[in-house]
Amino acid sequence: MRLNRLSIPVLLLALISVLAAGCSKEEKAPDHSFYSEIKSVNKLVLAQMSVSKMSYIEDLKLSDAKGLKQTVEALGDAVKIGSRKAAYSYNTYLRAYLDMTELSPGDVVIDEDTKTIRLTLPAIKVEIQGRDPGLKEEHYRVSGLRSQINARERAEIKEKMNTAVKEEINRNPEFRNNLLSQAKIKAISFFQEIGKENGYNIDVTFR
Amino acid sequence: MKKLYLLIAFLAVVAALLFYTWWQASPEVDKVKMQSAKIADIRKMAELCTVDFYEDLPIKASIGPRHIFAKTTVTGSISFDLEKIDMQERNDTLFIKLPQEKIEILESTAPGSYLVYDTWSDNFLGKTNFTTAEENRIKAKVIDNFSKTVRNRGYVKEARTEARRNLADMLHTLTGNPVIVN
Repeated sequence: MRLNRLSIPVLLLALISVLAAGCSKEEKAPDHSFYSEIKSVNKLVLAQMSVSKMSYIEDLKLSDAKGLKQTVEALGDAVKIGSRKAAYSYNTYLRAYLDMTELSPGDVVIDEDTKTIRLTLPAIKVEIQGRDPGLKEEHYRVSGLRSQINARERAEIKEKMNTAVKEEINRNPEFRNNLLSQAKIKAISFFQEIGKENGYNIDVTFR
Repeated sequence: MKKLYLLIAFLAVVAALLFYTWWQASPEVDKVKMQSAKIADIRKMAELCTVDFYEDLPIKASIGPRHIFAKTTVTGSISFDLEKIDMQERNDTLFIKLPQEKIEILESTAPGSYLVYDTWSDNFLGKTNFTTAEENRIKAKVIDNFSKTVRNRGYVKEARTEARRNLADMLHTLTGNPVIVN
């Protein structure tokens, strides 16, 4: 079959269109709604943990570059006049608490003869409470003709740090276990103190 | 000759497509390096938390000719330190006085909890950047204003009402005595 003059350009155009359509990503419109919520809870907070996270930003070195994009960026950074380095940190807070709505009358067994109360507490829960609103600037050096690190860039850095911290907390049981053990100690001492003030010995166990 | 030009054009398009695919497949540039998260502190406490709230706050601030518009999502709670309660027993009835409430407001860890929409200057080609310290001061002021809003909206009143009920229930269950919480 002989191709006529127009076939090849038409074929090329069709090929490019198909590939471009396949490569395009459908972007979800950002949600700009403002949200507000308040709820009543009944939590006995027994311990709070601060987890600190630090990150630093600096130019990409050619020796560290992997792949085409990073190599191009590293070459670009190498020819720029000046340095751009900064380090930021902030804390994320976890809290361990008892959900007192899970405590039922059956969990409290009072023995008036021996003045003893057997108290079975629900399992202590751990949640991420929040993070510092601000960022602590540990180091900042922007020199030469380099652009300052702006608010938007800092917000992006904080977002990356946030994702990393949450993954680390989920992956490493040390965070939760440390907090839970301190919370258990506090729960036992707190309820035993209440019992002592009212003339009872409280024996605390957990479900 | 025309066939040669067409062949060259075809090869150029294929090369461009291959380069584009190679570019897309290469790892993204990330200049942010992170250290592992570390436990900074653990504090034991006995606080009764009766209200949790969650709010998106707009941030619109100016320093000189520079302006910023951003949004922060905050999460907060109102709680009462049970180690500071005043407890007295009279005729088998427990009388409890609730301490001053503690309002704690932090930034949420949900994705997108702090977004900077725009920074601009009134001056043509003027500086639009805010330093970290300036940004921290702006955020602190927004959160301080919000803590006043929390009081004005009646969240504290609701928290105290819930605390009275929850504390009375808890102590009555433990001691068997009637409990009055003020």
